[in-house]
Amino acid sequence: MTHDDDHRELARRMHSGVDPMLPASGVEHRVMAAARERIAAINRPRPAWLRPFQTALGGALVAVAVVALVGGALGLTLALRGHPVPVAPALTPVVPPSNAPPSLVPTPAASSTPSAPGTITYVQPGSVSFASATSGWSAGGACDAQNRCETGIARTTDGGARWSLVTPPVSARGLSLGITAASSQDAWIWGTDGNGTGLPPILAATHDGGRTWQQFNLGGATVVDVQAADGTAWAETACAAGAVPCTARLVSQPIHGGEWTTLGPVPSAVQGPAFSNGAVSGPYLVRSGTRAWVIDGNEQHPALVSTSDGGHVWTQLPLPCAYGANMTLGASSASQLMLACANEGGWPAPQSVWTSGDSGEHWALRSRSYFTGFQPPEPDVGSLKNDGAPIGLAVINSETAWMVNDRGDDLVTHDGGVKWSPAALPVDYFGNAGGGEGVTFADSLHGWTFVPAGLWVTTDGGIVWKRQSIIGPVTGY
Amino acid sequence: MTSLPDRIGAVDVTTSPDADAAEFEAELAPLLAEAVRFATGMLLNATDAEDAVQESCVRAWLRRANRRPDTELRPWFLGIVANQCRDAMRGRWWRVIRVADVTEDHPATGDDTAENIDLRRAVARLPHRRRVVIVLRYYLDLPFEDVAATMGCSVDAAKALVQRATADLERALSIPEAMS
Repeated sequence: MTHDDDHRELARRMHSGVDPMLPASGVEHRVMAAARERIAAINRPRPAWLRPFQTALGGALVAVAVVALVGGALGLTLALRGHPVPVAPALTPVVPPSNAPPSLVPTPAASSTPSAPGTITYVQPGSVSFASATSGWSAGGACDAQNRCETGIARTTDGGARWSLVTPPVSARGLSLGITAASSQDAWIWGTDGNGTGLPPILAATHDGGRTWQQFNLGGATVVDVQAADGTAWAETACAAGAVPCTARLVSQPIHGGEWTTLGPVPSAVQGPAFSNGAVSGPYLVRSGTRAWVIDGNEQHPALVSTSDGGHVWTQLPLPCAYGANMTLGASSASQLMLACANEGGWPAPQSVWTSGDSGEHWALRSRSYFTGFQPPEPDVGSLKNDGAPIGLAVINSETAWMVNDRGDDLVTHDGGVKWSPAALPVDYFGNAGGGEGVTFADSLHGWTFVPAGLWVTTDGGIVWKRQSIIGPVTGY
Repeated sequence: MTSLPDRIGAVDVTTSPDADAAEFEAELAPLLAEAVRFATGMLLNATDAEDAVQESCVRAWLRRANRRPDTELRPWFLGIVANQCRDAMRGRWWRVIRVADVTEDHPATGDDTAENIDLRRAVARLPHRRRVVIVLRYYLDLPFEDVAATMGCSVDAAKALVQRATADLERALSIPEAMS
């Protein structure tokens, strides 16, 4: 068979396989009409530059720009920040549907399904969290040799060389989980039904290395992030689909277990608006010591707030990102922050990196990509490639940070963000230096990243990365 | 060092916004059908594809100032759709564990064949970038030059990417009962 024959055959199969999935005719008109409706849902003043478009299109296309995922910022969790379910409008703070702390609910026994996999031969990580250089947890697809998969959780106590499977509190297929580790014994999983199959949102914790799990009732709310620091795990909630209005809030549990307490709603500045399709990135947490930040990745009203008293008093901080930017925040201490911004369209994605040495009160531009219409290079400001948007930022200290981009190279800086070099993360699929889905470090030497092919580890500060199978190698890569 | 007020002005549009919007919509409209096909190939779900293209229209408008003067709208817009599809796949929840739910996500239609179902499962298993080039090359039937323009890379890089993606797809197609 010739090359052309191969091409034609693959093209035939693609057309045959995909054509049945095409939307019904008239989709172009529906797309326009739906976009016009969305503008009416935005019940707040708009910047002047949006209004003309609204007028011109009679309701207009403009409603929401989708925030590309703001990636794992602080902490050791590699799970990417996703689009949460819709949350309440910022201008109408209300009492959440359930303002009570999470209550314990019986954990159903994991049940087998007719197509449940047999002996698990590998775990394809979807979320990875390390509490230290040795103690790590992973949630992902646990699959057998025939690639039949179910939700799986694995745990390591030696930095990832060996993993053991932990019985998850839920076994439902289609439920995807984030995981946060505080130690080899303490971990939290959270997530929700990603496919409309009616599974309830989940928040569960283990404090005995995964032998038992406590599952918590959040009154229908969904947990969008869990971060552990300063002896507590904070969970941030959004509203369950359709639960409008409601308010995103924070709840707290001691790291080694105990009662949950409600810290209250997050400030209105970081309460995302409600949109029907949920394609808006909501706020997420960054914690370091007693300091915590919530950054709202919503392009419509980006905001950054901070607390240093356990969530009682919040201060709104300036945000240097351009309006409409995707934002990724990381912290190496209670005072040292790094913020990566990108105005991603098709391509390129003009980026900028800012740092703060005073917990976010003031920001200094460290590097940016130069682009048509931008000012010429400035003194002390480095140049940054603009062929991708950051989806993950691991800030090691005031000098060293790692940035994972959705396209193009992953980058590392050793001078506080002025100069960025391609990072020697595992090669992904674009022919560039990197392509991790997230990156995290327990300390300056021990780091992890993962790609669809599996988990990779460095023990020398990122000079060498080695593939590390969770149970076994992921099939097909 | 630059202080806060010195912000990037990527969306600073100052010339005749009404006319600009009308012109932009007129430019975009002929691309929507292809964009929908592209998104369908990426997401393998009609509703998700519609949503993705709708979001892409919004994003394209908001980001129009980012487009280089010498960049054609079509590859630039398809790049936005590709990004939106990536977000949509992630947005189903965090890092959605795709391996576990492909069957539910890409159900067979009434007269579908096993070959078609296998094809969709194999496409769904591809990493994002490889899925993009497979759909561009084999479903939209774009020449390498257009694939390169959409991916923002050289033609040689696009060829290499397609080659690797094709190998991946063929490997995925060869895995019996993959993702079942």
